[in-house]
Amino acid sequence: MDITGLTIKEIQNGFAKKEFCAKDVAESFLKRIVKEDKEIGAYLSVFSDKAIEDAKKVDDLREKKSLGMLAGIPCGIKDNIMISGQRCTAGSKVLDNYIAPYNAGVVDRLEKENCVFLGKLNLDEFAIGSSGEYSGFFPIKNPKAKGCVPGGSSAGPAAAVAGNLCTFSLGSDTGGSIRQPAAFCGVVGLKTTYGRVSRHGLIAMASSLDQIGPLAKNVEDAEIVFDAIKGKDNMDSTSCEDVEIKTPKKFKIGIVKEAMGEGIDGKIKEGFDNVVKKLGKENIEIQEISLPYMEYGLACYYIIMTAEVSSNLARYDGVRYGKRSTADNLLDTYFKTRKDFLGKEVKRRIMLGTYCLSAGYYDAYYLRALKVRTVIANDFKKAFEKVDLLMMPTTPTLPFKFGERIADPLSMYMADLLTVPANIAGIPAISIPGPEIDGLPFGIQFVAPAFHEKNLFAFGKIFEKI
Amino acid sequence: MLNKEEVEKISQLARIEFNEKDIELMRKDLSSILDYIEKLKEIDVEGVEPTTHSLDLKNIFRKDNPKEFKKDLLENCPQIEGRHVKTKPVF
Repeated sequence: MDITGLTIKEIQNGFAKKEFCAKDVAESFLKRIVKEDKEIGAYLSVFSDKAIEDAKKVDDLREKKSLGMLAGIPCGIKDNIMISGQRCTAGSKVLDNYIAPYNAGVVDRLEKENCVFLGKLNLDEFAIGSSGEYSGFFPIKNPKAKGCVPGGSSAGPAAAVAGNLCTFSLGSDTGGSIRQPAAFCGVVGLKTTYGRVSRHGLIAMASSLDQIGPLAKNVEDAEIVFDAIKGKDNMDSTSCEDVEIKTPKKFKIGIVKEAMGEGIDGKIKEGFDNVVKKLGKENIEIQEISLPYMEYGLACYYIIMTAEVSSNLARYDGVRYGKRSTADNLLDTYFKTRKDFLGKEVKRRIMLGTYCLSAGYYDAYYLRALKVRTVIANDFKKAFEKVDLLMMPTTPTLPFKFGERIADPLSMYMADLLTVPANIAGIPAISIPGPEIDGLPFGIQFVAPAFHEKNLFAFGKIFEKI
Repeated sequence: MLNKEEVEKISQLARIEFNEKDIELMRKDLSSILDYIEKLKEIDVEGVEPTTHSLDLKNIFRKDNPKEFKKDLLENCPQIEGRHVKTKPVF
């Protein structure tokens, strides 16, 4: 039996029936990583010895006492989330030698559930990018679509799940960085409600948008991981108490009209239409919903995000951690360090954000974007008075080829067109694989009101069976 | 379109050194992104409150429990002297 292809539930069943133990599971994955990951490039570091040790501990404990809900389940963690004592690069050369001094909140929770960590996963530098081509170390390949990018920035987390190099992974999503690569790699990816999952120990990119969430083989697995990591953490002042919500007996689904308009590839439209038709036959209530301001989401996002990036990444100056270039004085040390160790796209966004926040442009760009943010969030609020969930394609195109968009930053940004609005509004959204188009993965995105992840899972499980 | 001096000024503010060729590329890239962002001017935002944050949270405090100083924090510094971070002089 190939253990690496199993879901969390299937591995747990195997443990219960004593078909294999946690050590067997960890060994199968480590073997596969050695064999396959040279080609895929999903991992930046692999914890070969530590993973076996932790798995053995789980096997020993299993005899003696009850274990956590993810006991012996092997996972990979995006390399912008800290595991104490392990290298944490955020995919950037500037943090090449950085060792995490403490655990991220989510890592603490997974440890408590006796999860086995296989290693740290590759990403676009500082989670900035939509193709996995901007990693400061090496690009990530798409295991499900030869010659195509895996999406980004959680390229490693998506490719690792798709390529059976871990059972689930954690990624971060600022404008689509979990959902878009999940869609391109044919796996499930969840962007959680803003504040629902602790970001303590996540290397910040754009703090009013960043959120951690799971990538998994199916909706059920994503739910199991979400339940393990959610909840208030005193170390993250934006995290909040859990909210109980009701799940409707019959879901009302809104098809977003604007998500089928300009900029959406014909093949995506056709594939999406077919899925909607299938749902119609299943006695699910469907109506068209208009989000008139959604089309402004991307422009709004590129102001708010770059502004926050320019401020969050100011800390990489070669003084307190990371790499430092040699120069004659302190000021030149800053200039040289940032020139030598930050990547091209990261610099571009720092520059744009600096411009938008600079004297004379603040009102015209940043303040206006914050007001548009209110308008977009209200669009969603109104929509959720009529329907329980919104449905749209996750991405405007199918996975694209390596190098296809790297020369034109704006064309790369367009890949986030349909995922960005959920971050702006702070609401949860999930990407679930639809039927492949021309042999390529294709994601369907469902969006729910804040704190309604449970409904995404409930309907997602119905959707997977159709 | 941004001019060369504007891009140079932003690079000074952002503390990133660029060569002539990169300044020119940056000028082109930033200008095309800014053109796209202009789109936002189409929306009437008169009287709309700005949203800085999607949660309405205020004054979140926790107990300030001192913990033992961790040596690994210092070990990440490019240069240290004793228990201090060392840099070139500020003045």
